[in-house]
Amino acid sequence: MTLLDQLGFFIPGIIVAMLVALIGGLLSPLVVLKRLAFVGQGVSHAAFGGVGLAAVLGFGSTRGIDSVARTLIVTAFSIGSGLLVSHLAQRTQRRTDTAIGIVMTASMALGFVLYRLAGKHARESGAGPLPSIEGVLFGELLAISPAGAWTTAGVTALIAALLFWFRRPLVLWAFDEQACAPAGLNTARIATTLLVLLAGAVVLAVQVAGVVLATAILVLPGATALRLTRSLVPAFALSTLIAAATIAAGIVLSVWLDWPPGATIALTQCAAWVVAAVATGWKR
Amino acid sequence: MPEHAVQLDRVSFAYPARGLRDQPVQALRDISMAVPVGSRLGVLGPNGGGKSTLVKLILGLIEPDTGSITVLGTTPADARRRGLIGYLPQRLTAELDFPISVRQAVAMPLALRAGRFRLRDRAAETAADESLALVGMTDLANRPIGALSGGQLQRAMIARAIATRPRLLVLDEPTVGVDAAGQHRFADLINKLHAELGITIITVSHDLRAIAAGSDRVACLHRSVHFHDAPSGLTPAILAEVFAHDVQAVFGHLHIDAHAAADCDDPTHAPPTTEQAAGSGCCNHHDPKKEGNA
Repeated sequence: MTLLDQLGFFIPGIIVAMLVALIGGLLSPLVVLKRLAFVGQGVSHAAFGGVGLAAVLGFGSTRGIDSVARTLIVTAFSIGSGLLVSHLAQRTQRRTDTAIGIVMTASMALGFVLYRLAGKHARESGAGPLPSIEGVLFGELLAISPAGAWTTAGVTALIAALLFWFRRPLVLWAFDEQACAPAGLNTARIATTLLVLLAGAVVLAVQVAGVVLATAILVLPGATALRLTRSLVPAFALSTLIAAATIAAGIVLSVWLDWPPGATIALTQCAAWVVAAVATGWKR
Repeated sequence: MPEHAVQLDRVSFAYPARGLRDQPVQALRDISMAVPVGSRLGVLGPNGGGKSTLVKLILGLIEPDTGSITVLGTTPADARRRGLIGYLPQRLTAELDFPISVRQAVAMPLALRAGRFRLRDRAAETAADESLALVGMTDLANRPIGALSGGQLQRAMIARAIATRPRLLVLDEPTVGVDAAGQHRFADLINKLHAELGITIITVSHDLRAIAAGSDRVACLHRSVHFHDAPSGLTPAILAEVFAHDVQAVFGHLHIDAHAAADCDDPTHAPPTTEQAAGSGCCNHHDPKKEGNA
């Protein structure tokens, strides 16, 4: 079987990966400039709670209509986790990183317990095993179905539209939060908007790189682009190109070397950052 | 056109208790004040005296518990939304790693008014250039925002505050950490903006020099208004009442004279800050050489 034949199995996965590259690439410079990498990490880990919840509700499969329901449940859970982080950070005088730590660990633990319970129930009822937990943690590109790809396309279009609509308030908020209120903007609403967009993007990225490595797609393209350009608009364009190129290269390498796709994509993106860092001088 | 830029009528505000055992903190009590359009008001008071709360009320970020506030004939929140208020915050919190030019930073709030589908707002960029010209930064318009010095950054932020052509400019502790010469330059800039734009300016500070150098009227604030008149009426006794210290006894040998400060154009003759006057123990003997090196 040739490399092209092997890549054929990946077609729904490749479509999803390119859509994820688009959203990750557009959000990534904001995540880096506003120092939200840990927030992204927290929300992606919290998504595991959503995977567990979907499994317990009977939508553990990544095939057919189950995959659509699963994606929607995980999206809702991730957005809920993001809003909970925002609420804890604002209302209880706690630091955002503490709030993320609390929500992240609670969601991960809950997700693991629920996934085990759902797996046990599925075995006992003869419904067949759930997808491996390794796939959830590190990505399951091969398991993405055409229905999953369509759902991803819909969520991508929605996130891209919202990102375009709110681009100016989001950029002002990321540059200088203090300037938002005098400019007539509701600071908390903008922060929540970005959190919701980030949660949506994380859910998409989780399909490609898993809950553990999804942050790579939200951080590394922007970090790499910002080393190569010092202008804002080109940074967004470059970040999207880098995300697409590194994800495509990661998929090809994973087939060629028989490495796990999610991990290979994350390593490819890290390698691109290292190359950019060396080319532009480490201290910059 | 309203007669007053800001009018406060018996305004009180208390911050709610944080814990079950805490009491609400009364920040302002029964404040009444009117700021005529086109005037320059300096609000002087100690830390914790309610100055920042007053700023938040004028900006419409919080609502008074009792009393009413109008800003340019409307509610503060409406005035803020309509871009009638320019604001220079006490601490500049902008992310200076942001890959944008000074012009882009100044144009950002203006660009919010552009159509959602317009990719580039040239009107905002033109207005930003005009604001930068007013603060004397035309030659730095294309420089990255992170490459500015502290003083240049403050001027850029003033340009941003006036870019929407507000009719009221609120400056919150604008000279904190600025040396005497820098304060003098800042006062010159504010006076120039006042003369050229005819804008109402409210400067909030604990620093007598910042207030006296560019105010038609001074309001001394420590939870309530202790004095509201021309700077020439300010006496050490009033300062002592506001700052809860015998200012003359502590700094009498430094010849504190608010009258002189109000008329003085030479920064090396400026009196110490009122925070120093409040007897924090950090008595700064007036040494021009030392200030020059600060």
